[in-house]
Amino acid sequence: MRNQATFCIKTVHRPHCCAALVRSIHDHYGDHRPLIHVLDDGKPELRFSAVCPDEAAMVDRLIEAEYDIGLSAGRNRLLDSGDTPIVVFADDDHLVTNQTRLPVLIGTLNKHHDLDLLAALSNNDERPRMLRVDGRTLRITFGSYRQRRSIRWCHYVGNCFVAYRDILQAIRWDESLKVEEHWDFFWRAKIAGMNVAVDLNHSFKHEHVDPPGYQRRRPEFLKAGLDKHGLEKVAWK
Amino acid sequence: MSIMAKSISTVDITFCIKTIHRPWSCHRLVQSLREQIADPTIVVVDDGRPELRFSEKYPETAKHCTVINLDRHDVGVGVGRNAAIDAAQTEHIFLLDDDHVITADFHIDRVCEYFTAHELDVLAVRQGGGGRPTMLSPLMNGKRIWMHRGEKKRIGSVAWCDMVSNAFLARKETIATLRWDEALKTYEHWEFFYRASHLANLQIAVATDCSVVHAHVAGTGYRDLRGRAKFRAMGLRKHGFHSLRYPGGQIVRA
Repeated sequence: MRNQATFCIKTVHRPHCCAALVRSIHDHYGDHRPLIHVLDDGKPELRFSAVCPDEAAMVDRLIEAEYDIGLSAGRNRLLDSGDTPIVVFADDDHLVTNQTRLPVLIGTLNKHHDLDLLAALSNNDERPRMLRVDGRTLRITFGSYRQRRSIRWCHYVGNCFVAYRDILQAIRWDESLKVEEHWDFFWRAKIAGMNVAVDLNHSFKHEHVDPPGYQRRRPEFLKAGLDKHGLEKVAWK
Repeated sequence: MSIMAKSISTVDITFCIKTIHRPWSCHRLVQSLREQIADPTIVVVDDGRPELRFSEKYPETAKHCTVINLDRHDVGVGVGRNAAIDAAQTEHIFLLDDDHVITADFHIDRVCEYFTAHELDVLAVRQGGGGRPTMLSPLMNGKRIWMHRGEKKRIGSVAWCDMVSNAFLARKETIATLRWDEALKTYEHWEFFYRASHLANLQIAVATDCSVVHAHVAGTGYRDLRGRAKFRAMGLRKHGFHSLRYPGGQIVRA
């Protein structure tokens, strides 16, 4: 996978999670693993390289970004810092397991000309969802518009996926949104005509850990995301 | 402090129209311009056969325009548009297609205001339901170009992007320098905007709260008869692309 794919990890203040993810990639794929690029925008004392130097030495590129550039900027920088045609994204609190089967997932992506981004499940969650605008509400509902074997074509998936680097570079994450970037990304992907799907036969393990000081609810970013698209709210049903 | 940019008004703008074999349509556009804008400066370039020319069919309307009847019939959209731009005497031009119609939704005052306030090079309006902000994204190490809906940023109702409709305001000099490729008789649109956005790095945007009506005329079968594939391939190869991905996902090869 080294010539073909780069595993991109944006991490902040969860060095042990990041270390476990890096080890899981090595454990499962050994010499056939994808390249591993990590971008860390945490405080110096909580950096991956400071807390877990052994695992930091197991990655192919470690980008020590300035403090708190955010997930969107971090991912964009990871996209621009490599050159394999395919990238693998997962959150730093995910783990590769026997159910991940990355080479097969990448094989499926390569096989179907109408796939640009192919997700795996996160535990048993992050099943396929559809996006539609209903008046001034963006509705994110379970569903898919096409299926073949275990592949479900849809508009919205979770954070663990394989995708073509150049397609993601065309869409990019909106760096002005430090949270609430996920639905914005997939809405713009849908508008652009990107082909998104999830393969239900693959999954990453997820053991959620909130980093110290992490604020999940940031209404100012929700409002910015909504305003951008002329929307009033996001409804998860 | 930056110096306040000079404001633009309609007396600083020449409306540039290229037409062929749709004299009624061109007449409708000119009349609608004159209804919405006081004494507009209009250039019409016509490369149709003499008996189907706008100035022949609608001489009264044509009196309000500078009409350039090209001697050579069917020279293509690039030659015609370049001639219209070159004929403009004002600092700014507003390009229009002959099947556009101007209504109260045009809001040229807003267009002028946004153009100056955001220091834009090309500012388009919506074209009915079309003319949405569009991006041209190179894929596969510059071998494929992806044309897709999307924008770089948005301030208020102004959306920055790579490609817009054919109804836009620009400085005359900008477009006279950029020019349409005269070898491309059709399929010139994306190629013009590829050069504008990716090679000339122009600031291109859509004023999403301003629009023209696109009263599409089936008319002459003009474009269909032109061997689209040939001109599309020519434009793609010129920039080293082997293929184009359309918004719907369809891939066409050069």
